[in-house]
Amino acid sequence: MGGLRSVPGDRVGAVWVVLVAATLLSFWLGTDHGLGSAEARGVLILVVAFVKIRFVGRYFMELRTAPTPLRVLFEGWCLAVCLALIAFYLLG
Amino acid sequence: MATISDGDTQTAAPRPHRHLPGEEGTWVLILGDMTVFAVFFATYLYYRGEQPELFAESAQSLEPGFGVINTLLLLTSSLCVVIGIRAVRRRRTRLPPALFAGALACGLGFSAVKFVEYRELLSAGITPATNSFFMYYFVLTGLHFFHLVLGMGVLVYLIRVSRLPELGARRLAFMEGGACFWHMVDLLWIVLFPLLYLVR
Amino acid sequence: MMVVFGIGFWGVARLIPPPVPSWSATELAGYLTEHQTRIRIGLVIAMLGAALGFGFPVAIMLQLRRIEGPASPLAYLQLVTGLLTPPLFIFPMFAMAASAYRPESRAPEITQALNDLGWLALVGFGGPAILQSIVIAIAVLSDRRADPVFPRWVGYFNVWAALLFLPGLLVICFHTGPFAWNGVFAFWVPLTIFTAWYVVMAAMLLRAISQEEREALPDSGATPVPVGQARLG
Repeated sequence: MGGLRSVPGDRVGAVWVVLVAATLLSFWLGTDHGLGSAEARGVLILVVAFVKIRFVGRYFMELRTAPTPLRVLFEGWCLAVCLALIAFYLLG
Repeated sequence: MATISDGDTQTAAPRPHRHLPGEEGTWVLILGDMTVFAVFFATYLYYRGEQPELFAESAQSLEPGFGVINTLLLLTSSLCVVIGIRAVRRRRTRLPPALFAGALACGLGFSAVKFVEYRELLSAGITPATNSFFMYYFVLTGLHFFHLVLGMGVLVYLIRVSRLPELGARRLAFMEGGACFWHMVDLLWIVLFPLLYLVR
Repeated sequence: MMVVFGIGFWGVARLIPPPVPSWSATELAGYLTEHQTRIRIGLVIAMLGAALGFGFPVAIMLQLRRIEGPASPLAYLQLVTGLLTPPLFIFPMFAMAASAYRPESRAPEITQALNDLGWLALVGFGGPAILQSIVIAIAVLSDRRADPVFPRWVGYFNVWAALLFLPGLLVICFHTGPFAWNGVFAFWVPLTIFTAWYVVMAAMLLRAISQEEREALPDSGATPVPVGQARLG
């Protein structure tokens, strides 16, 4: 696939590898391995999920090169929802 | 936040060219949908908080392996779509349809896994009416699946249209928007999977 | 329509928030007996308001026809689905009215059944509204004119609205929770979105109508686009 490397910021293949690894990490954490308490694992899994979402937005949806208002909305959504879900999870 | 990758060090870098993927309206739909799903997720966690043991116990009936496979399928399909869109921009006409078809195949794979999963649960006597957890499970995954089917329709459109040599700015914007809709389907599953299957 | 309906249904009858589906029959009968007058008068006002809604899909149809041309299946499909909305408000309200007609002198189960019929129908009849929105979306997004009848985002907004009306259909499966007829996703979200949709479409209709008038002026300088010249993609 010649010509892919010439587009700046074009590292979608690497991003994909990172996303796959993050998925497997979450799976490992979620099936009761890793750190001590279930709460810590839960929070970590949620955080990982939103990191993955940022990658999908920035590289796959191509928001890295999008106008600032849109990027602000997207990142804002990620941050707000991540925090809200962690809050609901921990308060339960 | 620096988004210009290497231009800074060499010359005074020109301001980066900002490109809006899709059209403005696309993002009304996508951000709106993401917000509604966010409300769904929060609601789920709220009700989970009221009965954590029930939810944790019921979640044992789910097989996380299915969820992982589905996540990987969607990630791969999104990769195909983004490479495909870039190829469309470079006026390629043979590569993009193949890539979009690959994404569609991943979507069909996801559907197959979903059917197997649902069938296993249903044949074990578990339905949306069994308890709160399973109500949320079936409704959330069902709503997501509906979006997936819609997205697969968009992929079919992309396969057909990417064969055309002449596209025009508006159609290209619509295609980008459709691609972003598919990425949104991927993105929603990235939250849904740990929420239902992993967070105990 | 929405204003009068809101005054009747919400302001007077206080039927928003809806009565709880998981009430027992006796509780429901008690509620209806106690608030009879209010509910009945409110429903009368609301039904009048709902009848005002007939003109809306007609106006939308006339604008969609400008996009499609004389053979305009989407415009007529929209008309048909849109025309169902007022009856789908009025008929359920009649069922509610019937349940509030004489709850004090009949078995509570009968009252409850009539009330169920009313609320399940009012909240659960999402199909025509969903189809109407999808049809509008398709028409708007396939508009090839240089100066489109409706801005593109209206098409996307209608897709989003259609998606949000969808959970309303689930009311027949649940007595409590967010998908019951008083629940967040089956009632409040669709109600909010439907109201927003009404406001948005009304504003956009006014804009499209003034655009049409401008194009019809002989000396406006703009070449009027005759109905039919805009091709369907």
